[in-house]
Amino acid sequence: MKSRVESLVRELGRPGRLLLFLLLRSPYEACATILLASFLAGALSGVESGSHKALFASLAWFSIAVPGLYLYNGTVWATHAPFWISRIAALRRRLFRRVLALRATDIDARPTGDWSARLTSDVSLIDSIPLHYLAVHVVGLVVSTGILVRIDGFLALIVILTALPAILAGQVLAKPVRALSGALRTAVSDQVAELVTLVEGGPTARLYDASEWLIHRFCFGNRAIRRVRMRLALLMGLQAVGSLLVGMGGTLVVLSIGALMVLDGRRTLGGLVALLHYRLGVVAGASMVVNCLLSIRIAMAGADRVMEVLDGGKST
Amino acid sequence: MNAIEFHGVSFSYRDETILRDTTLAIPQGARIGLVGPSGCGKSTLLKLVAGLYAPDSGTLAVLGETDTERLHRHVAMVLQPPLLFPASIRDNITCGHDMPEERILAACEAAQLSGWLRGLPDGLDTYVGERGNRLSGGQSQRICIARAIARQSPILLMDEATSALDVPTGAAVMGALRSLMKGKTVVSATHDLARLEGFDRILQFREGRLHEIPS
Repeated sequence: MKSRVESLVRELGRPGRLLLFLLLRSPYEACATILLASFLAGALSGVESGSHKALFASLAWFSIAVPGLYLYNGTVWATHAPFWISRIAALRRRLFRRVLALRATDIDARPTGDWSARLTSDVSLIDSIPLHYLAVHVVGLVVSTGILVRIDGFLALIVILTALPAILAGQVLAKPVRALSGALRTAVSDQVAELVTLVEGGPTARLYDASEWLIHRFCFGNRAIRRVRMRLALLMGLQAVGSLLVGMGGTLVVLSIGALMVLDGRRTLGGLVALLHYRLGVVAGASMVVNCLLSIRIAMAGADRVMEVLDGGKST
Repeated sequence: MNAIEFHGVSFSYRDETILRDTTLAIPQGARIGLVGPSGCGKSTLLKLVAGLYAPDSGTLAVLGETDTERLHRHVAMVLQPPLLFPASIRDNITCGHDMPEERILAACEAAQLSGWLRGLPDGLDTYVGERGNRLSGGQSQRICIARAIARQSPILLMDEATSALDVPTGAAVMGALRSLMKGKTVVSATHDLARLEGFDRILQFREGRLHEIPS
């Protein structure tokens, strides 16, 4: 998949600018996790020790840092959005130009719906490709894991072990998800052709009392789409439920051990809350990375169809 | 009873008056030609008869039927360009209705499709492609004619049925149309007078009104 994403980034143009955006955007989640965890640790320690000064210092720092972080993230977004929109528009323009340059036999080889889907929904899939979310969550995951290891190596190991099944499940599901996404793209394209027929052939259908027949054909296509979407939803649902169960199990284990440590006086309550927050950074980060990879695979099903046209049929 | 009767029918389309207070009676079995330049309203008149459009005022009766929703039951229509569904030749002829095989084959024979069909590996079950793009214009038009024949309607409406075809294809399609027209009331719209040879009456569209011209 890496090489296909690379070719897509090359095709979008100005990869340096995209890389800069990803770099600027990537620290957001890690910073937010650290910010919240430090605030909770500091504030709760202040409460525990009865120190007003420590509590107010934490509150003051939090109230300055959070808007600052949001402002930074918003500025990065605002400067990136026009760039990304213009890249997608340029891609669509190139794609349209390429389609216009095709021979009539090449055009006739595919249904109208297929061309229509490639020019519209497939490009929209590329538009929504979550590369920046992946960057954000990868950095967040790495930073949270690193901090957690530094705080308590043993607990970090337990957290990582409970997060691993979600990652492995994501990898197992990746292939069928990609295949189903491709099948869904084809089914949708076929239905667009049926829809064009329904509209163009409406008067003829009415003359020959064929409307019910056309609707039946449309419903048949609808059923095909529904079947694929149900399978896709089932896979994604299984992944979500699995992640949730594993996550809850992990929380229970870490909370039990951490609570015992607090009772034994080996850890403060604020420290435990911060630890739980970093644990959340690891588990949620791992889950988000898996989801982003799955979403990228789904988007690549559309990207592949766009690239196929741009490459003149060289890639698949 | 006349096959088609217009009593003071007026019809406007997109703020343009197409028919003005038109009264016309077409007897059963008559062959009527409609001529006039593109956009003068020939197709609109046919669509009114087929019940695809409803008159703004006046009465339109097809074999005594005046309900616009039911007019299409009495007519078959051949249009240009031919519209085929992305389905088999059989489905394009039957339009999804149950139809005896003999009736389909007879319609194909009359539309001069039989010879070509015999050469196809899948015969009537051959997929025609999207908008019939796997077929020539003449083949597509003849399938539409076969559809109209299989319909067995007493009234046939033809809208530029051969105008876009080359001479040999047009001749073949005309042959098919002659079979289709046998014993039916025919209204044929064309911009070419030469295609109306043998018709009983020829009407010309002028400023929203019909004027008879010598046939």
